Amino acid sequence: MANNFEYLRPTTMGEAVDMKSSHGARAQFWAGGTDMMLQWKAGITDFDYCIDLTYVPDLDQIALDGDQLRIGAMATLDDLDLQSGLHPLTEALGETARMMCTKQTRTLATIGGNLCNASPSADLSPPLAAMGAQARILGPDGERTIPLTEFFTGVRKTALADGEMLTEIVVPDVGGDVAASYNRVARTVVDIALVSSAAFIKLDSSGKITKAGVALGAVAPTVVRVNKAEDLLIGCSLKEAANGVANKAGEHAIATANAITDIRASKEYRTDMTSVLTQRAIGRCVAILEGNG
Amino acid sequence: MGVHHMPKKLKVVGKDVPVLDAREKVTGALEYGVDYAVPKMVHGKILRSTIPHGRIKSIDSSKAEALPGVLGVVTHEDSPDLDWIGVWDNYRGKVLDGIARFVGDEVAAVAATTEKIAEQALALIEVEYEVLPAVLDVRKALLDDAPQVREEGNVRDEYRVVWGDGKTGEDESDHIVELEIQFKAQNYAGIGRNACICDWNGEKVTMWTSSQTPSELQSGIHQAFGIPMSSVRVVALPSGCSFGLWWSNNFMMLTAMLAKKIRKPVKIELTSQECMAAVKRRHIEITTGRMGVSNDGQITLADFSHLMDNGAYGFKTDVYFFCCDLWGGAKNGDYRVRGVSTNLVTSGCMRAVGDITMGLAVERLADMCAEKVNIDPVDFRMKNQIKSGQQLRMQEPRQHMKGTLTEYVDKLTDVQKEGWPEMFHLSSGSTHELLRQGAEKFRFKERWKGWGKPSSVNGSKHRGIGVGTGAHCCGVEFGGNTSSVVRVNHDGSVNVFSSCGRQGQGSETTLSQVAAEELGVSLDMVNIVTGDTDAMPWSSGSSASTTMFRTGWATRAAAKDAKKQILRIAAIEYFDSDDPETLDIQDGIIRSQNPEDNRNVSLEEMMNVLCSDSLAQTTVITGRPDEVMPPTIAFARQWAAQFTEVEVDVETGEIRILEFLAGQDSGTVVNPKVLKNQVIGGAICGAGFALYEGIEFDENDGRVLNDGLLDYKLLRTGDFPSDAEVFFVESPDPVGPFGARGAGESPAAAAAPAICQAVYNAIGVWVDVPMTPEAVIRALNER
Repeated sequence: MANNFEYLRPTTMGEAVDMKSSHGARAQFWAGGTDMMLQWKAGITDFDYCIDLTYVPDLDQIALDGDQLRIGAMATLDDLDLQSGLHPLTEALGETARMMCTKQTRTLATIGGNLCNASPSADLSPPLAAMGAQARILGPDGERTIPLTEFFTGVRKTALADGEMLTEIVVPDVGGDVAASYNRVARTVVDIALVSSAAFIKLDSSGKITKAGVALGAVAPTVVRVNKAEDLLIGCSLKEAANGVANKAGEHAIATANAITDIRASKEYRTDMTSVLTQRAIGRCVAILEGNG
Repeated sequence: MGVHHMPKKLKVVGKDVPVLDAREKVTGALEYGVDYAVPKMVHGKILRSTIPHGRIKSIDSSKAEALPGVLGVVTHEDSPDLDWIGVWDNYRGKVLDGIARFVGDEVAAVAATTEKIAEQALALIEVEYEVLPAVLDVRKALLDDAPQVREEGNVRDEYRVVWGDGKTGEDESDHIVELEIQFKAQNYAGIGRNACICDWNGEKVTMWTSSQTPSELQSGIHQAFGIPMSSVRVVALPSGCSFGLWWSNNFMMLTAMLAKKIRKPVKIELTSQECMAAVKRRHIEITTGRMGVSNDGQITLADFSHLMDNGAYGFKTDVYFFCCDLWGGAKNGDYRVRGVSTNLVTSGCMRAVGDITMGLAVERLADMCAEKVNIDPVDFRMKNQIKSGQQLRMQEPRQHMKGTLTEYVDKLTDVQKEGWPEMFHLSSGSTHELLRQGAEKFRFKERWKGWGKPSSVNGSKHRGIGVGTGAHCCGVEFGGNTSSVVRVNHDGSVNVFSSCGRQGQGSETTLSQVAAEELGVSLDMVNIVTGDTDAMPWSSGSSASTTMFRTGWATRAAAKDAKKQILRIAAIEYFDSDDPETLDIQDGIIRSQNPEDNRNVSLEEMMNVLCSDSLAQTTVITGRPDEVMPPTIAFARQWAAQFTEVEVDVETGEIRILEFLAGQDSGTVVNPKVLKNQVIGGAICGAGFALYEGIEFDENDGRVLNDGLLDYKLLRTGDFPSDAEVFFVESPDPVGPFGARGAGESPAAAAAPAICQAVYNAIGVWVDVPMTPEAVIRALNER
């Protein structure tokens, strides 16, 4: 049975970081608590200080800021769903959020918590990674921003150093014609992904793909980007992307995957599905950009 | 005599009344085992084995006992040297005997002032094992040189049902199809945990726990501790869904051992992991079968061999498979079942035991036969499934305490059997009307494209339709009979005392409806006690779809007896000593059955007079069954036929259930809301078994790997069509209360074959259950 802990309630980001710095590894941030509570009860995690971020203002915004999409770490999965209409990319992220857990849990679970939990099967990692999202981190030495793909360093491991907290996810360069899609295989309506893939496409004014992202979930310790698939897509028309290129991108996905066998699925199945799901994600992006989404 | 007629229009039975505890459930006021507490209660925790098989060489609890707050530790040295037997042999053994038989098996228990201290104390108990070889594979457990899990050996006697002749069947077959299928163990995975509180005060033992079988639990405590049943009081609390999990479980006995040792009330509350990995599960079952068919669509041969694992403490010899009755039209049949012990968590009867597994194998072979002769699945079932009045197949060799059931029945006198339905023949109902009406509602014939042919294809999405059928018993006598007591109070209100479970199936409501109907009072005048063995007569609890049929019968019989007594006195006091048979109670008023006779007296007035009359020989009227219930296993079955359309994504293997229609024949419907709930719940249970559910055991030590709902995938309501429809065919039963029969299990048995067949039709390949996305892709690749 888990130990007791001291509950701390900072009201500014600075205060939160100070608390974390002074208590070091014996302290943990509390966001929505939906993963952490279970881990605490099961004895997987153990801490003496719980720093509740709920009362720190301005951490839960989801907004467009120029050509950036900014998502506060304390925004909930339900907020993401509710903000679907904000932008084509929040449309994709909202759809992703709706695949996650249940409405009740989504009202508690936060985006930052989901990312900091650093599960290989986390649903938000592939679409955000495909979009080229960045993680804004605040620590005792100030602020830094790193690509989300570098934020994850292993299973349940992140690049956060002692005293640091994730404050925001920033997706840069979201103006113009963009689309994203996340696809996964799961068992029941409430499940974590057995395998997943996300795609992101941005068009230039001539209708050619100028930026592309493909990212896979649950096939490696962290989310992985399929660079060769992205390179293939850049410069293509939507028609080319849909006819043939998507298929080749799927083959690159298979080559990139480094899946394992566990009780949820086998390595072979996961690997094969990366191709199907990547093709579907690209196909969906094309359909959205062609106005058939 | 057992035949009831319906002399009047029913007023309470058949009505859609909400379950009586709905308000308490919705407001959270209803107390389940985990919610319950008693004064001066302390807390217990169980030390569990970390190895699959081992003999305890030494166990040192001194450090644990020295921990402040610890009140006592029990080990096998405290355990009485007595075997106790759980309901339907789901447990057989001592409470503790110094041998660990699976990872998670109970080894010792600690009582302490808090749960946390008890848990800390567990870590201080030092156990040294002599490690024994373990057997984790069901087939290997059969071998002579396999490690033996139990003193009695691993292998139980074969149970066999035979009719006709196998050789003749082979000769008559134009086609013979075969299969072997291994079913994973389904987890009960009930939402809600359980806890047990026991108080051992002087010679009196009181236990509060969620249980479907209060009386059998009382018997179990009596056996385990060698104390008189009169000293044992069980107060069975409602459980969350149970499906057979919470009957009489050994952790309850362990709680009693602690209570006996420390002489304080102790509560052991199980974690959800313990509930899912250390109590009970469905058997792992392996069916090998052959089925033969002649070109005219007649099944000529049904030849099945079924192996089921009992886990560590189960002791079943068979799994009550009523599929051989369902497919009783087969000309020749031979069904063999063996039970075998393994070093895996104990297995036992789970909803639709046998019929959800072996029945599914039988349905699949029947479908394969139907395809050979190109007959659609509805027609093929109508041709080969049993019809009302025909001979039943499987009860013949059943053991009764007085020999086989056949011998028992043969010895009965005609007087004893007066009014009984014909023994060993189906008394009423079948799948036929369900299939006819269901096919019409589902427009099956229009939508049927042929075997292995999708009803539509859209890209990677293939749709297919399917139909499945299921049968089960309506209670079985061999575990003990049923009884009820009905008490009519001074004010004309009624207390019913019926030992049964409240696992969400609504028996408190339906049994009250039966009593109200028979006594001619409104439902709000009836209150029922279902859990307290100090108040209730011993009665076979809520297992084997017993409650509505057999406990309902006993409740009606008790109400009839009370009514007879009331009318006899009323006739003398108020009706000029008329023949009591000419009187009746309607809406709480005693009156003549002759509509022109205006004499009447309220039940309340009659009962008051009875009480205040010093010459009266009683104060209240107490009724009990004073007639014999015929053995229901020898004539009564429940029936389900279900239709579905599924969509299979042939690229990912994902399956969605798009449409579901469930037909149910459980005789007279006592409460349509309650029965609909049972049918849909059963269908979802069967659908879960078809699609995702299955326990994964560690291949090295047999521990349950998916011991939580993260990786034990239950269907959510969102996985099942929200507009699933239920329809009833009400073939009245000649014995059941107002014509009602059992209901809980056949719906679970019918769903899996319907979904499997629909998937086959969608993609043209059979997929073994659970049909996970990966299993579907594998089957498609192997095609």
